[in-house]
Amino acid sequence: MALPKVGDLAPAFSMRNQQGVTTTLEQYKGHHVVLWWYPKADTPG
Amino acid sequence: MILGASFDSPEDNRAFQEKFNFPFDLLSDPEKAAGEAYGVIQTEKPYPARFSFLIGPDGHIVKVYDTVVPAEHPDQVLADLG
Repeated sequence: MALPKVGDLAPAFSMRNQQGVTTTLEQYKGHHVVLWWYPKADTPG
Repeated sequence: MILGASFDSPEDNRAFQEKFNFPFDLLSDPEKAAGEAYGVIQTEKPYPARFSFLIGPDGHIVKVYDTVVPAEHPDQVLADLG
């Protein structure tokens, strides 16, 4: 699937955080969110 | 609000977070469902491509960042938030 484009509705997600707590994009409605994809835990950068 | 995301387990992310003391959550997408939706799956590699998405208060994408040079990324995002 292609990257979402500027102006697109951000895809909804539901993922567990490092404590195992489910986190959804919906929870952050009304706020700016940066979703930062990183390759793997504990790799440089 | 910053949310990190990778295909690692919550346990791996917890160790990662504790090691570097990140002041934000690291989300786990082992099934790659969100990775698929955000287009960051790489066919030749088992981990997501380096992209960040700035999402506005209305839930729309404000900016897409190619974060190949991680050190410059925070300044860029802060500049865009004005």
